[in-house]
Amino acid sequence: MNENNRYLIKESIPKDSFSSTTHAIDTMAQEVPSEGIREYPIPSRYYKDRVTLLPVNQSKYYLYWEITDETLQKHGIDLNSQQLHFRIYDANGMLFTVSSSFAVSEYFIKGVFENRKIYAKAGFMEKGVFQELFVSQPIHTFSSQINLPSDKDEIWMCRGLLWSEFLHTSTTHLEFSGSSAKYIKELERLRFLTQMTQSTFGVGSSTMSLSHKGDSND
Amino acid sequence: MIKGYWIPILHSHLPFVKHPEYDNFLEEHWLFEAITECYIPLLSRLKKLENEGVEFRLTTSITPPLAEMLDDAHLMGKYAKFLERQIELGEKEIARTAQEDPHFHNNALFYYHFFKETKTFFDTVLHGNVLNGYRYFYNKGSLEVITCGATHGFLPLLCVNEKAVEVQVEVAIKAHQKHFHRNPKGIWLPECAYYEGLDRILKENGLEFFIVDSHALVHANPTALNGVYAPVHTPHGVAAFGRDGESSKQVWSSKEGYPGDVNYRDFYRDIGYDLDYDYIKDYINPDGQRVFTGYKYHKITGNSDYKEAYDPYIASCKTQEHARDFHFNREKQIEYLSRYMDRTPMVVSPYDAELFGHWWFEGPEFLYNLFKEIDKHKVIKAITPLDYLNRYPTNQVVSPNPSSWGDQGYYDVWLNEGNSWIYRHLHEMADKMSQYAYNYRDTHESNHVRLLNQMLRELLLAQSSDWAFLVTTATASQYSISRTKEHIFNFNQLVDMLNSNTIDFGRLAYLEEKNSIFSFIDFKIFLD
Repeated sequence: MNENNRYLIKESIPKDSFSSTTHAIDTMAQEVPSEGIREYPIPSRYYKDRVTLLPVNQSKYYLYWEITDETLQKHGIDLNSQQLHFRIYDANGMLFTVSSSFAVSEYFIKGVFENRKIYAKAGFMEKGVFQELFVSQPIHTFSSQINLPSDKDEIWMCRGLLWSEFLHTSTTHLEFSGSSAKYIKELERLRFLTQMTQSTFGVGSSTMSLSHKGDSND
Repeated sequence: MIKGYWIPILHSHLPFVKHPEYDNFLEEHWLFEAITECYIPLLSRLKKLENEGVEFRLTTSITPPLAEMLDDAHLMGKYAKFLERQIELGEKEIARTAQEDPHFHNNALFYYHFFKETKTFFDTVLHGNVLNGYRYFYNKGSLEVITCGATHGFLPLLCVNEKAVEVQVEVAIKAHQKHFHRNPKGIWLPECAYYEGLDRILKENGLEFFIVDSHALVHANPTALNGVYAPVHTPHGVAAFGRDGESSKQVWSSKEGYPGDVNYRDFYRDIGYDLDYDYIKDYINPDGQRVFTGYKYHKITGNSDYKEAYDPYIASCKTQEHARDFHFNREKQIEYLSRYMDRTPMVVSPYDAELFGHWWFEGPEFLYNLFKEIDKHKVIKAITPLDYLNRYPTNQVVSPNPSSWGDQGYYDVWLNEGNSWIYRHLHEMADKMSQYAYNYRDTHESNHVRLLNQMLRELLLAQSSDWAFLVTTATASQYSISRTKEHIFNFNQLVDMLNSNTIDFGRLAYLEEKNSIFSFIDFKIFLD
């Protein structure tokens, strides 16, 4: 990482909000009532418990759910007098909460939860305590920050390789995770092994090669 | 001496639209217009470059739905009729303008010859199949054809059921094998939309590279140190190429870009709207609705409604000027970037292929002149992403930021208050498909197999990102909503047939003919 990199990163950032969203199909399509257009009935619900969280942008997320009558009955939830509660969490705890009286509905959440994994829990309140019903799959949120690596975090990889699984396995077993010094040491060990492999078997698409900046084949 | 590399990438895509129940269906014209104004003009310019000995390298996606439509006998039969009608209208226009409108007589002649030459190229060079042209240059090595999602599904919003994403990619690979007889090396992610973990699926399918918007690399974890001027590798070892904003904007921007030049053809003025109804009625929508005919006699002229006559010769000269300008700017950009890099920089310029020819009528001529300019000066080299990876196989490892190339750069265009209702159904259908594929994994009952295969086709067609996009832009939104609901309805109808073991064979045959995409499909692809 040096001043040149800072310049290249700066140059890579578009100078204005220009985007490519004006697709050609948008110019081909014309809003013309067509005799071929008919109405197709589609299900209003699927009779299946579900809570799903989807990312929209850095500060907006989409939550939809369906809680079945069976589930409501089983937990004694009467939506005429009670509400369902939906909570958004990350690894550090709750970020957002919203409640609803509808068993099938949706909600757009506004909040900046950048660069982390978040998930939603559906539940209800019982004696002031949140009772969990279902959990959504986690989603990885967006980042709007430049995340400059330290020299130690710069990792370079040769085409056609898949080093991460090997590295992950190595670091997990050897308890190197969490220590950048040991991480680099492990990288160097892998590079040595790779060089040994290459000198023994020649360079092929399945061989491994890890390096730091400056070691590229340029 | 080569100072840098330019990587032009075209994204060729249209959603699967086929209505055998109608002789003339408006939305089928998207394909016919794109073939006439974009694909054939591009292929004919590439042939011209080859004949002139001009070296060029171009990457283009041909999405599976587009390839399937270009290979569909029913649609190509309609396309042949479309061309005949265009030529017939040209004959009428030559006669009319000679008598009544001499100011536009040369324009009428120009379009008549344009459509005649298109027909000749289609019949004789392409032998009635546009894919032949792409295969020819792909096999020659001057064109790198890449794939896309099976039906252009917006993968980050489908990954609630990861199998749905895997099937979008796996079916795309099979479609590429069917149409191009080899595995694709790269993929244009639908809408350049990336999410964390997608690279694993790409890697498992043998894909070596994909394209993202600039902020996917600038805001990556960690940030790509060379910005978008060198590729990166993802944790699973797939290369990501970032879009260069400057060169994209130069061509794409409707305000500052080349297509807005006053001498270029005006897109909106068309005889379908300008001429008397009784005269033009046979060449517009059968229900009498006025639509574009492709006969456009005016140039952009300026910002007002006042428009002057279009002069194809002056417009053609302008493409040479713009090609020189683009080349000059890339040269300067690359010289500048070289000062900061320890390798030869690359500039990646991805565009919608249909921009060249449809929206920007002179676009294919611009590309032709640009490749000539590059070949003449030999300071920039046009290459493919694979060419760059061959030269520089070692790249920084980053996890690209989830992103798309849509407005605002994230997922807003495809998920907002107007189209969010779609996703509940897509996720449920994918879950059901997984369940039914498992339940019927050992079946050899041919009717069950037909039902399950058609269920998968309906699911894939419902997943197309185009419908959500067109709902947001409020163009053809009625049709887009109807198409989404149609596939959801069809899917559930097929499920009911399967559950009740009461098959409406007439209905099944109809769906198999109408939504006939991917003849090779096998529902077992949805098994884990």
